[in-house]
Amino acid sequence: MGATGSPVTVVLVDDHDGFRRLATRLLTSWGYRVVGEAADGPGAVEAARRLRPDLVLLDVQLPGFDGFTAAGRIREDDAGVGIVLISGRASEDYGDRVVGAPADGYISKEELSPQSLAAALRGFGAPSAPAAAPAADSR
Amino acid sequence: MLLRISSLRDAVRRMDTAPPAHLARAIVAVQSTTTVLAVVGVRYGGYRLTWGETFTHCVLPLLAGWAYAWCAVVAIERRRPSEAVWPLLLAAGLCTLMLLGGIRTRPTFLIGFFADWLVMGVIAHIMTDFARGDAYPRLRRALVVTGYVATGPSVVLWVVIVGAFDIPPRDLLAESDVDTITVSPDDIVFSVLPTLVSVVALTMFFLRWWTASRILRRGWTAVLLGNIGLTGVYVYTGLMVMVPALRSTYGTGIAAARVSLALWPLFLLAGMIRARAGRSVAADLAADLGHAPPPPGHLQDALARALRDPGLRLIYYRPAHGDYVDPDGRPSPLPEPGPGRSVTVLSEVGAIVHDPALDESPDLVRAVAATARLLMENERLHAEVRAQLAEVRASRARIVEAGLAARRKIERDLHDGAQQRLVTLALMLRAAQSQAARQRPESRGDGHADADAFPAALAECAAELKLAIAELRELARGIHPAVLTEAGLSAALVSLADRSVLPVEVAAVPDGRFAPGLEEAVYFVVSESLANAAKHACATGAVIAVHRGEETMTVEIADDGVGGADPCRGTGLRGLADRVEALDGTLTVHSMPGHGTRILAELPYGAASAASAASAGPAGPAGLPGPSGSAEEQPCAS
Repeated sequence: MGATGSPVTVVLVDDHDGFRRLATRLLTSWGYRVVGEAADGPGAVEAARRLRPDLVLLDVQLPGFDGFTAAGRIREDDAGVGIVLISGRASEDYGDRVVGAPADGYISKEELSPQSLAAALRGFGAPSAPAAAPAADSR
Repeated sequence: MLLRISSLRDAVRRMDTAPPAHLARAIVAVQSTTTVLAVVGVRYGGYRLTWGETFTHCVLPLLAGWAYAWCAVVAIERRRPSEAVWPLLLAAGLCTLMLLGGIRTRPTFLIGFFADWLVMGVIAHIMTDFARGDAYPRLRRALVVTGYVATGPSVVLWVVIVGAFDIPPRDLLAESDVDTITVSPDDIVFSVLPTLVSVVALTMFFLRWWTASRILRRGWTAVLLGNIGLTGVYVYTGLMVMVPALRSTYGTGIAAARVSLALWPLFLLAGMIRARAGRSVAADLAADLGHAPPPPGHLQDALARALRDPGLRLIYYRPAHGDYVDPDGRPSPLPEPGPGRSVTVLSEVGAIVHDPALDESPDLVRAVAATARLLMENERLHAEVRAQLAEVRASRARIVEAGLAARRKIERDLHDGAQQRLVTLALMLRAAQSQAARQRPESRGDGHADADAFPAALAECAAELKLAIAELRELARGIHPAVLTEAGLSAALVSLADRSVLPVEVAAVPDGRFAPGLEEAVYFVVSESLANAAKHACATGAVIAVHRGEETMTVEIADDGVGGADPCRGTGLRGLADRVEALDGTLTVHSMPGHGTRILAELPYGAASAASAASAGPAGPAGLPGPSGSAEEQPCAS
């Protein structure tokens, strides 16, 4: 749950429809509430500005402009929003760009789990990991 | 070859030493007769001359007359500077001597008087003829005509008008009384016109000298100095007539004029001899080219030196292609002759593009071309090979770049295709795990014996899938490192060092982005070198240093392994060298046994950019070793 006890609201940004559908199902099952989706960089910025979510799950490689740029613009609009970058690539494929990005964490897509989200958001106060999230990853 | 060379030398020398003997003898005979008449005239003509006047008015013209005759003989021998100049030189000599021949009778006196003036027109004609060329033909003709009109017919007219028939013969040689000189408009015209003609002729000659090749300048410099001196005296004597204040130096002016007229042919003679010496040297140099041909690719420089024409260019004909190339094999169309350049075409071989001033010595150009033809035939083959080499290089660069493009495409396809599906599968498995975890208590309640087996199997699948994704990612990274595209060379090399099984120090890497082909070449040089160090050199550490130079990027990888790597054995280092050389770079391997290995690559910026720009077509065969798994130099002795 969020700080107020309501589910953490999420905007999910990825240019693959299939991934968005699957990730929405997973996030919902973990106790998150997906309030919006976007398929490109400008759409991500617009959705975050309009929906004011607790968390933006943001793919790095996006049409329009990439996730790093989108993260910067979203952060400019709302300094309190949680931003986690996700990608099919490993973080080292982006060199120092991940470290310097205005985001709270980075998760490889196949690593997406309540634990990895919690770890990525650790230290980020506003959207804490949902209490109802089950310990799905048994490994 | 030797036969051709000796014939060239002989031909050039024959041209310089084979005079029409009968003509030269005739000139000497005429000159001798005129000299005898002149001496007789002076001795018995009733002149009363001082020793100084004798020297100025008799000895100097005598010497000048013979100097002109000598010039005429030399000009006949050499047929230079033109076929027509020797009669002018002979005429100048005879005019000078006839001045002395104005003896007792009034007609001969008038002939001498006329000759004294006419020689100025002849001299102006000679000056103009020396300065001949393609430029200003009308001006040249006008100058010659003006010179003769101003000095020949006009003088006759003047003699008739002013009644010069009454001038006593002796006064022709005696210096006039300064105080009795009166200046009429006629005087001004007759003094100014020849002076103007001389000044214009001098200017034309100077311009020709200024634009001439060194070999022609060599001879013309002496002539130019003579022309400057003579024209200066003309100008002075002209001013002397018009400016009363200068008339006090009338005697000096006349003496100076006589001295100049006597010395001028000597300058001409010196110029002709120097030019001949210069041509002889050039011919010898050209002949030496045949005896000791320059190294391939240096014939152009050697000919330029021989002909003293730094701008000389050779172009070669390629019969198979029907086009022309320069000595480096680059396409070079046959230029049209025009201002500043002349073209001597050697059929089926090529052409010599040279200073048009060398057209003044067509026989020299022909002789040198005869030598050059043989050498050019050989050089043409070299140029053809170089042209083919350039084409092969360009083709190789395109193949390398096509290979790189293919790698980038495969990496992208793996990422967007198989890897994406595996990632989706992993998430679906995770969803199934979540569902299984939620259903587990109920399963137990039913007393199912394998209640824990299903989640465990799912977890095992998830673990295997994660490994598969990791391996696929590593494979894709080996085909093309995404970090290179995403974050640039510096981040890619740091990442490479981090992932290496060896401790690797990145000592220096330039920031910024470079041409993709260059970045990839640098990356793979480092990647392959580190792979070799780890697999075959038993190294315990390595250092990477990449430096950005003016023209090239230098890559250095040093390890502390067993050394002894040989680029000629195995395909790893050979493949690296091929990749580097495809970008016009160089790869050097220092690998003494027991002293580690140091690999140094220098990659030019330009070639990599061009290769990247050229790779617009579809991906071709890779043709290059991968960044790992192909290093088989020097197996590690365990």
